[in-house]
Amino acid sequence: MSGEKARILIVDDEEALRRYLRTILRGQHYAVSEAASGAEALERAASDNPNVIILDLGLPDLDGVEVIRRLREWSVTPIVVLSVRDQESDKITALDSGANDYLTKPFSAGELLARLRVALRPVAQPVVEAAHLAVGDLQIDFAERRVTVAGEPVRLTPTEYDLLRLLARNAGRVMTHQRLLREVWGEMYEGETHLLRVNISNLRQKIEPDPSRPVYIITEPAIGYRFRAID
Amino acid sequence: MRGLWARTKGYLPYAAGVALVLAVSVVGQPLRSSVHPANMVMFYLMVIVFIALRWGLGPAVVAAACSAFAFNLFFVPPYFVFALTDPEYSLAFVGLLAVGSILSAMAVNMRNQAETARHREDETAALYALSQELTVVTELDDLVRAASAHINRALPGRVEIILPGGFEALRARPDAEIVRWVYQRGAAAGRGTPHFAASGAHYHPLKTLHTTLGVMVLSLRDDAAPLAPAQQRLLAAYANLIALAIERIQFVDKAKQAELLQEKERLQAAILSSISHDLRTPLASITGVLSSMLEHRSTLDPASQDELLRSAWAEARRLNRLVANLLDMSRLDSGAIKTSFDYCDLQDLIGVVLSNVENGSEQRRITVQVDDNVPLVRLDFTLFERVLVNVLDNAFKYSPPDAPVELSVRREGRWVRVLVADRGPGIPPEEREKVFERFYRTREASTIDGAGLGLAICKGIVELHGGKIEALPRPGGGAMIQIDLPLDRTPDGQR
Repeated sequence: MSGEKARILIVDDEEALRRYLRTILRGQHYAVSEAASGAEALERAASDNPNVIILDLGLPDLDGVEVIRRLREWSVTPIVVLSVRDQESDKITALDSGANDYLTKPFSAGELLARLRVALRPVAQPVVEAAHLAVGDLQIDFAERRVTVAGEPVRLTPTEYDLLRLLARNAGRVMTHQRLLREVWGEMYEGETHLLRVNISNLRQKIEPDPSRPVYIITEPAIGYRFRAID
Repeated sequence: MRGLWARTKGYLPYAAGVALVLAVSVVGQPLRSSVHPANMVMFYLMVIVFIALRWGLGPAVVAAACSAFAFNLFFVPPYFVFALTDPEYSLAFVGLLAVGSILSAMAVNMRNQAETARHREDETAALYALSQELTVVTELDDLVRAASAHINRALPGRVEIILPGGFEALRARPDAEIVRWVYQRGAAAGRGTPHFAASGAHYHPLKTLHTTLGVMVLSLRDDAAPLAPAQQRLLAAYANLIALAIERIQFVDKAKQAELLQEKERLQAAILSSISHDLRTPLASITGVLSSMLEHRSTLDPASQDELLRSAWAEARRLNRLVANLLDMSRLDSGAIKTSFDYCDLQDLIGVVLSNVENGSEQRRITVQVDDNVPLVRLDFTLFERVLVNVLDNAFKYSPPDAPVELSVRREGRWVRVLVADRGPGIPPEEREKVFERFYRTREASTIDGAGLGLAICKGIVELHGGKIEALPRPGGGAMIQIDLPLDRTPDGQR
């Protein structure tokens, strides 16, 4: 993406919200195109060839999830979904149908830009490819499987380490409960969210300065977890 | 033996009458010398009147005839021979016979009148008793039950009271047509009437001055005799009473509904004014900030601009929380809330809540203490997040800005207890339950913004989880909100 401006397609039926997004994104030198309906979004996605699509779930003509399904039939363009609170199940369906991330309205410009930066990374690749990750006091050496906090080594169980590595490699990306369970424990464990809760809790006790105010592993209520985005 | 007894039973009064006449004759023998025979007639008349009152006309007339003969035999010389020789005594014989018969008839008439009066009295008493029962009844169902029970005791059959509301259920009845007919015409039908006389039951309209309110059906027992005229009158009187009682209850209901409607409208007006006030306050400051940024930005130094924008940001968040609460309230009300229970780590939840409430402009100190032995709790993460956000929000609002708010979680046997404690003015004892009612604001709170929705929502959500929420005084001053969640369905996985 370096040098070349990324193209972003905004799909929302609210003119005011489109204007707000357009202003912020142009200010960040993104090229912006807009669609006010699902049908228009599908056309624009084909004609404008955007790098990221910002898609509102509540469109007048098509269900947002349906738009995602149709897009995913031919496109791998990252999709960031916009939704309102109380649509947790819709968010999960959207993520399951191929959306890459979501934002809950109202959101701040900072949140939006952070999501876009992560979404612009190639989908198939981890966000963090280096053998080493340092964020705040936390250091992870993927080659050595070593984790230290403020220089002090931390003893993690193999499951806790696998979980932390998966989250950290995808820093900034939302990881659903199902995906974490599937990739760390295996297909059979997708419903066993309590395993995840217990391991996340233990992990936080070991790496977070204050487990009640986590800074590395952020909870996405009812959806999953997200490792803090690395700028 | 029994058949014989039944056959003879009817003749007993006659036999008794004759025996009494004989007894008077025998007892009178010793007096024969000292009393004039004509006076003995008195004794016979007394006996005849007694018999007439006691056993009716037949035995009395027989007794009168016997008396005439007995008088002649026992008291008129020549004794023990029947002879109408002396014209004086012949007159006495005829007189005794005639007067005895007339007296008998009169006595019987009297007796019948007394009996009718007693019947009337019974009827009046029964009606009075029913009307007494019906005056205290305030629900239609209770009225139907009380009236049926009462009539079932007084009349030999089963009574049903059918009101228009119950007509739908009529389809199943074979006599639906009759019931409808009676209701529409407002006339009695069934047994003993010109309409539907073939039906075994009595159908009475429950009529008031203006309308027919329903139908009363009396199904007689198979072995019961047809209703006597008096019983039919009673049935009609019952129908009248019941109709009046139904009308009264319907009037009371209507009045109650009108009152309820008025109350509802009053509440809605209060809600609307409270909500619009709460929406307008943050909107006013946001509008203010935006207009000053638009029009006077050049005169504002960067620090002031920053401060203005931050306050608008905080107000916008407040607005968002208020809208969320309104939405939650209406969803709780309509039962449209979808819950998805899952095992959750309360510390995880608290983390989300803190990132939510600590993000505001005013930095408040919150100390968190989660005991290590607190297990996962089965709850709806996002709903419960709303509970803690609201409780903490309240704690911030009602305590001085520099006083810390304490949040603690510990296990209490089969419960997990979440406690939010502040150092505000506390909640007076008489208001500790009311604060969970919607739109209730404590007297203390009336100066502070808020719709009085937060704690009502908390209560609704906590109860969805089978838990309890209480407001308590905090030792040393302040308020505590205590939430207990049941651990019944917690898996063995510990934190």
